[in-house]
Amino acid sequence: MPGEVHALVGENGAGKSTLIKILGGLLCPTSGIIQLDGRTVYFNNPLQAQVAGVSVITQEFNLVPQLTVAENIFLGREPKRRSGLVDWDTINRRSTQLLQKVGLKVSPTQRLEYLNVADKQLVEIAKALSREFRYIIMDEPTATLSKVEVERLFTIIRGLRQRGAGVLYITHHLNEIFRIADRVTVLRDGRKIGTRLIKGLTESDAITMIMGRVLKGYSIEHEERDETRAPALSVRNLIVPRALFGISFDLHYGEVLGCAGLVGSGRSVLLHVIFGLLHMSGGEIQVDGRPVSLLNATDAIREGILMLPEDRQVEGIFPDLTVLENLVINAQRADNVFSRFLLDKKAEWEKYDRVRISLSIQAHSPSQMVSTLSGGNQQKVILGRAFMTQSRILLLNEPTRGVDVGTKVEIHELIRQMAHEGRAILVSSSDIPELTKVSDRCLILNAGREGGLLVNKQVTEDNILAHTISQIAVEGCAT
Amino acid sequence: MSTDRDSLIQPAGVRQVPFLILFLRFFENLGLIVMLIIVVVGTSLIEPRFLTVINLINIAITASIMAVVGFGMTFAIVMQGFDLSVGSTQALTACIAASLLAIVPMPVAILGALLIGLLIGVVNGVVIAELNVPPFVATLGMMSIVRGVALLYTKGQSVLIVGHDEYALLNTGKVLGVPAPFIIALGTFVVLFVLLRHTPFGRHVCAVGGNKMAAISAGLKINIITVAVFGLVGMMAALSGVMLSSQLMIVDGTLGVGLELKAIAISVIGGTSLYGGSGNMPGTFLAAFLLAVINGALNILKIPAFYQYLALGALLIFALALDTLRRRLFARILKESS
Repeated sequence: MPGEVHALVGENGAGKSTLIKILGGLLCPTSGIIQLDGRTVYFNNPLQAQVAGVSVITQEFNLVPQLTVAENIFLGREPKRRSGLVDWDTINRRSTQLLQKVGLKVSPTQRLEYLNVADKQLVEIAKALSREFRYIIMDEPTATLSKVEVERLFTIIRGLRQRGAGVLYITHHLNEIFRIADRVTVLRDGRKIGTRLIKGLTESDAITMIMGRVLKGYSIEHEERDETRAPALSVRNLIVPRALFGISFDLHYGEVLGCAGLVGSGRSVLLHVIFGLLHMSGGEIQVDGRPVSLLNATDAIREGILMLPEDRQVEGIFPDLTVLENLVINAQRADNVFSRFLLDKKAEWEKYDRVRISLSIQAHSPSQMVSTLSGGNQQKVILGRAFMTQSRILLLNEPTRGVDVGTKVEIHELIRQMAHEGRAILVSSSDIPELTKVSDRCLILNAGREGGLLVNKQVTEDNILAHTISQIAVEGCAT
Repeated sequence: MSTDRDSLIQPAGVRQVPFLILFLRFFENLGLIVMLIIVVVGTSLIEPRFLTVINLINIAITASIMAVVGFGMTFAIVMQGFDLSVGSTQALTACIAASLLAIVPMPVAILGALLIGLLIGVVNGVVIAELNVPPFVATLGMMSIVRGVALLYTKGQSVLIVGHDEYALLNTGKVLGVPAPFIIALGTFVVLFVLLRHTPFGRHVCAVGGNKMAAISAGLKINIITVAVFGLVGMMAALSGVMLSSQLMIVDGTLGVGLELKAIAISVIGGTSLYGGSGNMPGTFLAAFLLAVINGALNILKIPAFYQYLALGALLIFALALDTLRRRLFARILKESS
């Protein structure tokens, strides 16, 4: 609606980003229509959406690092002089005004790549404001902004509303909705759950709508652990610039520690640091009580740490290798798969059979190409790598992304089983029900800081969600 | 007027780019000039004949012909592509210009050669943009096709240009003592520099090379830009073909072998990053001279021509390593300063 701030919320994967990509003309819907001011419109490309008066601030930056700030703002709409050359005076003057409006203190002639993430977000906002629009869509514009910058953005949004523009505001932070929005629409699993007026809506109402139920999820039977033994992995005051600000936790043998947090909260960064793929600037990591230095993945594997990657298509699977080759890719000579230099076929096959049965991988032969397996089975192959090695500490990043419900349950059981066998497992996931099903304890990251540590019975969906999306402390939670 | 206002409305405490980066960026072109001077001074100390007018003019002509191709190649690299077919295109257009001279007036012959180059480039661009073939593969195939056409067109024979003194003037002519090829290269440089830096088209080429998704979502017509850029590369290769034929006055289908390597080398040595998004046209011009001077030095020091291949390859790899190093260094400086 014109003159309204409409918030769009939902869990990760609820379909928010897809929706705004369609509205912005980057994706085409397979069915259904969009109506703008009562007229049905079709956007086949971003230009048509812009001409129709829809301006989008996307989550991934649509900026060109090598161009200047001003060139980025006016990309595709450069003011020209009569000679056909770019009118630099106009471009830089208007950019300066826009930058002032959003409160960004950089020169418009500066190259964009020299800006930090928050500054780039502000440039993206300035770019959207520079267009002629009646509707503006903002996809998590505050994810990278500081408090002061958020305040300034809210002032701009209120100004837009007064001018009669319609604002569609997507966010994960519930408190922002209550501060700025007039109405809110909740999405879940690609469906619209409902639209409510903000007036009269409470935060717990909103959380219930987002999650889809009030009930607490069931918890697993938690086993008693020998807490006297030195923790398998001990992280102290871990600092990574711009990502993690002092994270500490212990991970014990036989335990599954969940790690929850929104996109950008530092979950992935944390796992990458422990696996030696990213470097910390401060803090300490101990394995079995010994401080270790993890400069690369080889170091981590030597210490018995193994990370199973998040995106199986990009980081995980070697699609042109066979199932077997994918399984043993991490194996060391110590794991008895190699006989000196050559691969020991017999040992490999024996191991393969054991793993295939215990993971119930649906493959008809170890020499089958892994790309012919279903997504869920590919994911199991990746999990199987852990079985193939003697790694004692497992880092799982989104272990069930893109797998069906049945396989999900199987994978959850596998994770529990591996913990039962004495491994220490850290599961990072954006899927909150999953964390409640597998974890003994749950670490919550909120914008790179510890948002809390839930123990045993406290690990419920409500508690995790509350800690990740709002700053309000929930009673009865140890931190 | 507006510039005055600019400085007034600029908010106080504008965050600056780290000084070190500005310094290093400034040093990029300066480094080339320094290297150029070192080679020239070093060679002329060993062999004073290096500084004779004839020798310097020869070097300038070689550099100019190379630079013209390099300017086009810079556009392609800015767009995160490159064109391997420029050498074959140079050969074909040189032969076409030579044989057309026998039947039509000179301007028509030159125009014809340029149009053939444009056509080859446009075909490259269409294959890349519409069929989604990577530039490497598309232009590699085109390199072989055009070479074949050039050899078929000349039936493997040489084409001799007889009696066209006005055509030879394109090479031997001088304006105020400056050789004509250099003037052609300088003119091309000015036009293409302005095109890249100061027109919406040039900025859009940078945008496509820097972040394709951003370019698409800004509503840029990527396919048209791609075709235009490769058309330009083809036309520049054709211009170099015309210049080369006026220098040699006898041409055949085997000219220009390895030209693509030289053109890519001078663009990269000149400071245009293979990662795309920005181009350094003055750098390309300077690097063309550096390469010509090095070749000239090797010639006059009677070092076998085979070593020129070694020098070119080493220089190219060095420049690429430097490019990556520079990006890592800049990223590090930025991270530490923020």
